[in-house]
Amino acid sequence: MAGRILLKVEDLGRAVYVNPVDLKLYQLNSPIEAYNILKKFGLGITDINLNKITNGTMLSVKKGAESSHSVAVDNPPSFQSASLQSSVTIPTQIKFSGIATDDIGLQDITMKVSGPRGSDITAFTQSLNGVTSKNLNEYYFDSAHSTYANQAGSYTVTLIIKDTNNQTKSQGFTVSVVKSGQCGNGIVEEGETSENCCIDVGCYEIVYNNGVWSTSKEDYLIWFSRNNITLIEEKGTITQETIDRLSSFVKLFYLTKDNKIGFRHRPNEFKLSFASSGGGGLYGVSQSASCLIIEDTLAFGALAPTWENSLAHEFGHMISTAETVQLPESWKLPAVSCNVPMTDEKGEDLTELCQDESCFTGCCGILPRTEDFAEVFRMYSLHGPEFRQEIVSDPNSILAKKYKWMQENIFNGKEFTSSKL
Amino acid sequence: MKKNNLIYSLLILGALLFVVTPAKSAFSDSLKGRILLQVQQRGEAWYVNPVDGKKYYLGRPEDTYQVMRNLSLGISNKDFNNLGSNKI
Repeated sequence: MAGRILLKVEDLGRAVYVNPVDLKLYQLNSPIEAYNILKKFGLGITDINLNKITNGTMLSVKKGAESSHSVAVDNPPSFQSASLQSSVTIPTQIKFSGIATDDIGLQDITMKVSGPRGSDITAFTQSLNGVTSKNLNEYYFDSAHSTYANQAGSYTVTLIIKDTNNQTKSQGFTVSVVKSGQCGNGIVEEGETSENCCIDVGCYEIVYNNGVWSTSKEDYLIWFSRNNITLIEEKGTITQETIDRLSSFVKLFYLTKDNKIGFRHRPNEFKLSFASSGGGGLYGVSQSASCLIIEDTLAFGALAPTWENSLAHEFGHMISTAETVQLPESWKLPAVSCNVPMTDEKGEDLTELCQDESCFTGCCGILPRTEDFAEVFRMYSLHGPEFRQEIVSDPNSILAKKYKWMQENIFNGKEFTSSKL
Repeated sequence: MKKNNLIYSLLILGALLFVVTPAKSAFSDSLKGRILLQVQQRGEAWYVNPVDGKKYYLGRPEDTYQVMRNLSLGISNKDFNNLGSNKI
């Protein structure tokens, strides 16, 4: 046995070297370890003497010729029970769980991240020195990392392991990154209670039971109160007739609560106005509804007569936009609402507003990126059938891409069949 | 005359082979199972297979893996445990 390399066929094919000098057995756990150990036993030899020994070729050796057992085969590396938390709030780090294994030895592990910061950003590569098993809890995704994260949005985190024979295995994990303190993101965060953020902690039943939305003003008042949103009614006390507005707002909250993007801001004030006119034109209506972002305060207004459209538009501003996500190409052009029939809450056709030349410029000119986003959001949530009709003839159009993006990233695939929330 | 020269040459060559071959074999026999470091070539490693007395290159971990895979001897746990306690 002196000088032989033994393969323990009943023990994962572990290799052992019988050192002919001291006749002791040395474990060769991986190719890299074997390489390092064997070199330690090396006997110096000159080229002349080395040339006296005939070269062997692997082809001349019949694999496992002397053994009745099969010799171990190098299987690709694999993950066992690998997982990563699916959502995280900046600046939390989330650790992987599970194990990376290889029957012969792991060479290295790499983590790549795709998300708002870019695609396939290499977060790290670490050498594993031929170990056959590596616990993944040593590795983590840092939501505050300035190179690959630190922006709210959806990320794909990929671990790639390579064995010593350059075989690789990768596994991807989807992580939703949100900014801290975002009531409404579906995550119970520090400081959030059922009293100040019941939408996350749990209060759906206050306004929605057995598939039916509440018609009680009191229920909505409780809901707003428990989400720390102040209600302001410009003409005085809140009346029963405001109930539809309140419920529309709450419905939008729930419809978008699980969006992959997260909220850029959330309102802490909901102002109800009852002006008789929205101003000069479709966009005038929306623009006259207030959406003032001062630091982290967002005052949210809904203006008659197109309050629901205004509300949806302003709500769109709350959803993170160009700051946090890579929107589809040419997102700014053209505005979605130009040629789409619209009605206000009384059924009055507002399409003619877009036929006016001055308004036409406003409707179809290049809109600020965030305004276009808010409009697409409004159209998607309130005018689904018209929106789809608009894109059916050209599924590859920019509009179609906007629709698809909104469907996938904000509404979790949900589509709308009516113009009422 | 030329034919005789050719015969002589072949005889001499045969004699040389006869002399050299056993010497080469004896030399490698003494190194069977050993790891050799090529001191004049950046210490590159070779393994002398005790079965055929030939040398196999251990230049990189991948080469080492091929040697482990192809030149090793399968052994059961029972036989392995009978080898003694000189395990490192």
